Amino acid sequence: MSVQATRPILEIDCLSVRYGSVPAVRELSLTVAAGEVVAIVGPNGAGKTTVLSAVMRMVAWSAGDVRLDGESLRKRSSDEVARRGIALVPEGRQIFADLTVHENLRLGMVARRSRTGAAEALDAVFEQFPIVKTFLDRPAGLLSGGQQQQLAIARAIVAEPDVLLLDEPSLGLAPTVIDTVFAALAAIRESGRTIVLVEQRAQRAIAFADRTYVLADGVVRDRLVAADATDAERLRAAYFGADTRAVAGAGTPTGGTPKVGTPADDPVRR
Amino acid sequence: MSAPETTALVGRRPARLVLGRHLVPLAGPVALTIVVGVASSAFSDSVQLQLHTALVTTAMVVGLSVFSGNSGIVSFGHVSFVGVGAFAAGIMSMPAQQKATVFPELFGFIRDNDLGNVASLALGALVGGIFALVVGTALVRLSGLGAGIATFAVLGITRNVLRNWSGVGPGAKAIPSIPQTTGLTQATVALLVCIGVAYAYQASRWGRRLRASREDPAAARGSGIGVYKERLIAFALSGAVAGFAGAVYVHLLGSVSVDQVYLELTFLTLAMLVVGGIDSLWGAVVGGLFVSLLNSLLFEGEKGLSVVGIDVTLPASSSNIAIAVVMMIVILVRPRGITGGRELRLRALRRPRRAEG
Amino acid sequence: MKYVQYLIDAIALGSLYALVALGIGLVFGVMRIVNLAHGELLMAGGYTLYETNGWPAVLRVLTALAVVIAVALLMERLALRPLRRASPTTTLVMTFAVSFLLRSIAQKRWSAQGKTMNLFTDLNQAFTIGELRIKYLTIAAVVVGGVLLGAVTLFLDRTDLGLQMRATASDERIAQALGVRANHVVVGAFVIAGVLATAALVLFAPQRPVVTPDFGLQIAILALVGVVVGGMDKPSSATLGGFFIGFANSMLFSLLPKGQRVFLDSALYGLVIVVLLVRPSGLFQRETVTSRL
Repeated sequence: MSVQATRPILEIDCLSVRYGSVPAVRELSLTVAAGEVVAIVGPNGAGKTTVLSAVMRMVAWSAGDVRLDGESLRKRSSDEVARRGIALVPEGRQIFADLTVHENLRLGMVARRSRTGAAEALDAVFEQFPIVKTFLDRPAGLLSGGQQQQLAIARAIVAEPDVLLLDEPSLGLAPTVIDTVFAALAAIRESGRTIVLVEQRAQRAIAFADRTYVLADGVVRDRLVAADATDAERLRAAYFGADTRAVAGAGTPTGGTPKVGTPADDPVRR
Repeated sequence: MSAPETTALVGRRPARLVLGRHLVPLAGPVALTIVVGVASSAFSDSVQLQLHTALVTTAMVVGLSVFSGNSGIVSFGHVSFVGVGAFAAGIMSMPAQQKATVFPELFGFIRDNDLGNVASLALGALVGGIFALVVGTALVRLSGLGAGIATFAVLGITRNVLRNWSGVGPGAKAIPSIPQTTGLTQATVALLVCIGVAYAYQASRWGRRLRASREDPAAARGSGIGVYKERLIAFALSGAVAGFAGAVYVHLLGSVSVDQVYLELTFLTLAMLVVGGIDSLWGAVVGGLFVSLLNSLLFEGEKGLSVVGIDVTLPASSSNIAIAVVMMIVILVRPRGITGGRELRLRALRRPRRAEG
Repeated sequence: MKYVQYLIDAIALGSLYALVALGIGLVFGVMRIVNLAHGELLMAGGYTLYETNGWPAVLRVLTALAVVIAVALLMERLALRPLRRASPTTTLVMTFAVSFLLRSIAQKRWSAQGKTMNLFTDLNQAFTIGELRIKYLTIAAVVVGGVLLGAVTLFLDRTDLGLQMRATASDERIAQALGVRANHVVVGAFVIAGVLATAALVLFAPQRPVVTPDFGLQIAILALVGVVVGGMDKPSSATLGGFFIGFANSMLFSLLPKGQRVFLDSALYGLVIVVLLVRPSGLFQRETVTSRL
């Protein structure tokens, strides 16, 4: 995955966020290049969701900056961020349960930057998520969890954003549904969109992403690449904060198959 | 959470420190009250009356702040308690033989008895407190917007009942012939009593618990504080203080009708609390006296212009405009009020502010 | 036959309160603000009608509409927009202050004495069907009320701004994260509330021809009672609540003997308290859990 060649599209620069007196994110810096898939993993309360909310200006920053295509988002409100080309698939889907599937998609289009091509964008979404087309006039609240997740992603991409932020898209879904979601994400990546993926299911996210940041207590504890997804010791070290270089240097996993090797299992959940 | 602070308050302290802790926050409001009271004697009769009104209205604000200041819930209905206190004291202070002819429909025990000054003030506090206790039993479960609307509804009910139930009051008419016993001494002493009660509550175990529950309801519940119970105590006590203030008020006015204890007074007392700073007793007192002063200045200023109608006691409308504007500006610019929501502290006293004390 | 008469009158009054209630409900929906100054919109329109007495009726109504919308937008811009992130209690106190400010201004400018609006007084004439005596105003109230409620429903259902208003009412944060501009939605709600308030005013004017500083307050408080009782979260339940309160008020007023009638207000306020305690999402809404009060 060649990353170095491309320009940075999203830069988070020394960002701090606090809830009251509790720091949630502390001087966090990370860069995402155009077309790249970056995952953010880490234990509960590490500040993953806060990072995405901060980029969307849904929570206030206490210090630092976020730049989209070199332009600071400091003075922007949430709706302006959306209309500048960042779309969020929020944690827990957050689709509008009372509104129909179609109305949810229409809301997704509010942030579109070009006046033309809305119909094509909608068709593309229908092709990618047939379920959305099937239930177009149904109240979104009646959809199953997996269908709602697909709708939430569809709602984000009809805006044709440059950067797609996904917060825990696999949360609460059955394994087969998770496969569908990741297949959809793979297709979105093919279309050239930049993706920032926050996940509890670390292994799957790491394997999917070009690069991964491991967050703990609001700071970046480690960086990983896709190949690390199968390296159990490396993962464990990244999560629990052992001397990562030493572990990486040792190279030989000992003592049988570690638990983290099971697919869809999270080292933090043991 | 303010856990360390709470422990500090609970823990035993050398007497000197305890005195210092209580003396300064209490001294400010007390001193200000006495200054206004004493100063009033230097002015003409009409200004004196305004200053006495200021003291009594401030007592109502202190009553409101016992609940709102400690619970963080804004009540739009405290003038209900002022109203029932005023009506109870008023109707029982009206001479019995006069009542029999003017209001024959009153219940016998109200019609045929009358009370002395002090007893009628105590009655105002009692009636206000009991009414607040009854109403509060239901209302303390609400907070925020729900509490705001519900307390507003209580005000509507109180007005509707007082205005139409001729068994307990004058109905749509005014209660006349109430002895005007509230002068300089009683107005000053009444406000001091209210401040004392409010401060004692605030410093008590109950007051501190309620404040803790406001800062963090979940943690308070976790540490065994029954939020509703604490709110109810504050609500009933603040109703009693408001009822007492209403009784003092009625003895200042000499007569009272339902419209004098309705929306305009609600607005005025709420404006005072908000302008002064809703979170502290100091804010209630400063706000009450400051807005009263503003009111008087404007009233004096426009005297030459306004046609003197029948309702001389009603503040002229332009002073209401000014108070509303001041209130809005305070909400926008300094939402915690001009005192910043804090009690007076020594550090604040050492600054040029000293002049006030 | 007497009861049919009562019923017709009650439906007419219900329609008027439904208009006011929908305005309050829409603003609450998109801003989470209970606007205690809503009634002063009707008051402002009422004094405009008084001041324009003698102009052609259509022009007077349009002027009143312009004034009402202007007051609504000023209210939003100057007093409420800066408080977008403040607590609901703070904004409630603010709207109370705004209400008082506007009433004080009216009292200073026009005094507490009533002023006659003198609009569409002909509508008070009636025609008879058998024993029924039906005012033209009653027909107008039902027709105009029905048409406007239908139009607002269509607007909310069909237009993009309407959709964005519904989304904002349901979850403001997410709606904005999707690109919905809060100010557009809020201004939209205030404009519609102004239109509805003006319509209600025009229909109230023939039967309550005297405008005082408290003219709007009395109407808005009752409408607010309806909104709370019906359920503030949704425009439909707020409207139904408004209709219900107007209807019930009219019916009970006709049916109750005079001695009990005077306590009607207490009963309605009592109902508000009971609903807030027992079923905070309102009587006309399905969910019982989702209260944002």
